Amino acid sequence: MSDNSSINEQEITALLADKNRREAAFSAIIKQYSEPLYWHIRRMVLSHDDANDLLQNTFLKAWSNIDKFRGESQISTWLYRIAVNETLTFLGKNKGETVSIDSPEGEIANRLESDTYFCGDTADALFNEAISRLPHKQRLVFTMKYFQEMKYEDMSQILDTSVGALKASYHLAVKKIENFLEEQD
Amino acid sequence: MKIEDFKNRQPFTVPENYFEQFTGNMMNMLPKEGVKEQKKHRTIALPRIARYISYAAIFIMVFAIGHTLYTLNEKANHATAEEHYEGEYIDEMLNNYPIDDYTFYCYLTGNEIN
Repeated sequence: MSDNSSINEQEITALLADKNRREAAFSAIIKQYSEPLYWHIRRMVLSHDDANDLLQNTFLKAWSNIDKFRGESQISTWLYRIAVNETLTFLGKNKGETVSIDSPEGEIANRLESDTYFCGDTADALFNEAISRLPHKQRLVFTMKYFQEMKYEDMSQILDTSVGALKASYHLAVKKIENFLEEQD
Repeated sequence: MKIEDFKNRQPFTVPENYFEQFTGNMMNMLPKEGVKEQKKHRTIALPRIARYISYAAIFIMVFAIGHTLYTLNEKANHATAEEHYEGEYIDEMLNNYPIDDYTFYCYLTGNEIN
């Protein structure tokens, strides 16, 4: 993840420790990570409003725990960890209200196609439905690997799961998505 | 449909200027440092002590109420028993049931009255 970062981790960590320059450092962090974090969350929850709320909560939590950040892990790892927790909590709470694996086939795709902030075709909607039908943790792994091309080692730090388990989870997710798409053809 | 076909597609959109405005909006939402520290002080120190005090108070109250109720109940039982068996009732029993010493002895020892 450090390859993609344009801010200097050490510099930012030092600025975060200085109470007078903390806000400026945090502003730089938001500017740097809001977009990748947003897309990560959006792929998980599908709706813009939910993704926006979760992204805000992620930064609010990060800010309220800023004293605990000692620079032992990368800023991106720390933020992703918070975002993942927020997203999983949200998905757990809204099992019955939003998209669920129990929804009838095509329901999620139909809902997506009527969303103001969705410009894809039916195939895109079905592909996202296939992802939504995965168990939450498998969906996370798939999203991180497939869309963000994150290394398994980085994912392992964020999700606190072994690389082997992540690889197995990703391959299982791919199989399930392929099966779903084949059924729709 | 193949899974690889979707890799570089972006079917999701965001409101206009969403990312450009996000940092500014987010910074305005952050609680100020001073407020955060005041809250911290209040939430960490007081509630823990207050919680322990309230647990102790509840325990003492439950114990005191229980003890009072038990004492009152005991007193009431004694009073009822005394009221029931003392005075007129016992006199009446003794008057109406003529029992001599021998009958009483037989009753106590379980022997038959001859």
